[in-house]
Amino acid sequence: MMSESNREHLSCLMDGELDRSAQQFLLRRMAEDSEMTEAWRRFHTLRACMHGESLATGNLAERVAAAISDEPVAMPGSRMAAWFKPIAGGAIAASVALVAIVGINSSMLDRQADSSDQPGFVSQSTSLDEPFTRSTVPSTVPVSFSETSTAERQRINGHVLRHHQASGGAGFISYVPIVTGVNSQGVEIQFQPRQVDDEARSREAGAAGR
Amino acid sequence: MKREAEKQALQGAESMGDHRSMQMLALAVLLLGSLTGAQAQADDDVQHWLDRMARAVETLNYRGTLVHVRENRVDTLRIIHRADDDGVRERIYAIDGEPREVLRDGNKVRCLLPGDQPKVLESQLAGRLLPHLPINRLTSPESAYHMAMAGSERVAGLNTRIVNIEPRDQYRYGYQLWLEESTGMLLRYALIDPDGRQLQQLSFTSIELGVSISDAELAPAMIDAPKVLTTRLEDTDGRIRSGRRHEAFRDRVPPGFRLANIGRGRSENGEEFEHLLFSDGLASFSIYIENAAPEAISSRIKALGAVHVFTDQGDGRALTVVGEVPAATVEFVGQRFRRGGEGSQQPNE
Repeated sequence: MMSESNREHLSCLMDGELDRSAQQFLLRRMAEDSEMTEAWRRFHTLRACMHGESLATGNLAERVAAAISDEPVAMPGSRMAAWFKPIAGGAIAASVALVAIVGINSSMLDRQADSSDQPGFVSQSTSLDEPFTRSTVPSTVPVSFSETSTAERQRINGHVLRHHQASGGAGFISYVPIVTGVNSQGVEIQFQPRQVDDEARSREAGAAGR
Repeated sequence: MKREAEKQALQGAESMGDHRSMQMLALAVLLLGSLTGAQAQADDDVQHWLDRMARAVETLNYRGTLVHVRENRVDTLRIIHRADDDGVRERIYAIDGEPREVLRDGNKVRCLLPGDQPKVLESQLAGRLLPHLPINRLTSPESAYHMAMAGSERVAGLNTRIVNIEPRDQYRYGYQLWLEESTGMLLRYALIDPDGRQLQQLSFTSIELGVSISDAELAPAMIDAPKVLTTRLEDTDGRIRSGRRHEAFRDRVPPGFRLANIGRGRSENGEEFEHLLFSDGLASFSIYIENAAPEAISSRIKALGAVHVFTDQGDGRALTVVGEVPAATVEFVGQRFRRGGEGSQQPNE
């Protein structure tokens, strides 16, 4: 029987009242506790009903269970399960569960994609353009979003680390950027994509002609 | 102490035992054995100083405190470096802000990533992928850089000689190096952007050279970090190939950069990637190509300090360009490898 405090925590999670570390903690617990997962699903169902949303609950529960038990799961138009599986900590499995619930998986990978044909019951504003707006399930959107960016950041960090290691000529100098840079999320630089294809083609043509 | 350090540099080179170290040792002996006049001449020779620096940084024992300053940020780091019969062990960690640490043990590098859930990234390569270029190629007139000695200065209580390295185009940074007089040890390092502005500076505020380092000093603090997850990034089969396919990429990289190596690895999400390493002798960047979701994600460039990262996803593959090079360089390369990438898809063929 699930304790009252757990129920309260889940409710807080849904209302977006937990800080990030508490969210992570709860997600990990949820991944290991089928009762909590079930309660989470029910909460969402209730919440969605209160907001008058239509549901496709049947296979949704199955998808959640499959994601958590780390089984291959068919999610049309998405490779998110495959993307996350090898990392496969409890937290990751739980975040897959959230992704399955809110159905924003594809939109994370493709901002241009039309989300109307995606699975899930959040029929509006699944676009990442508004990831932090208070939707009907406020807490789930930022959590899922942060997991994705974590995975992406980790991939990039891995590549940065390997680059510095591979090029490590002058000893510590190669590793200092990892220590000093790893803390930052990075600053996005605006740039104008140039029409390089034509330029490159003409260069290639020139090179071939030589 | 300096004499001790110099002696230790030679002993270190000898004990490391690899072929290159032996070559370096022979070169060092030759240099030391030369006449004083020749030595005086060598004092002004950039090549000589760069060579000494490369040797000192890897083969000396040292412990020190470094400050790393960039535009709006100061990091204070500790570094402990030991080179002996067991190879090189090094620990670099931040002493302010969030715990961050890099630990080198031979070819294995571990890196503590901070955050809500600290993680340890681990990477093991068979060795560095970048071959040691003959320094004379860097100092030749065709080099992408202009190099010159630029006087003396005192850093961390020690006398240094300054080496200026200016790039000849906007696709690489300039460098200024302060090298300790008796050992060649790098004590200060400045990175200059293509417009001549100083991007960042790294400087020892105190350093002990030629000291003995205990195992305890090299023990990582990251082991005690809570919730540490260890992930591995490793070479799958060590298929590292030479840069003979350089011609295929020549028009896709800025002038002066050459394909130095091709490797493969597997990232922690299990995806195998191809890794192409390009270098102009000083600066380098890596291109990673891996399978990805079929959806397209538009190109982006991120700056992590002076390191720039270009990412792009399309046609079922992800392209990542990483390097401590200007944004213009990763953009140049990223844009040219982005679509089609005829040369990049099967570089091993």
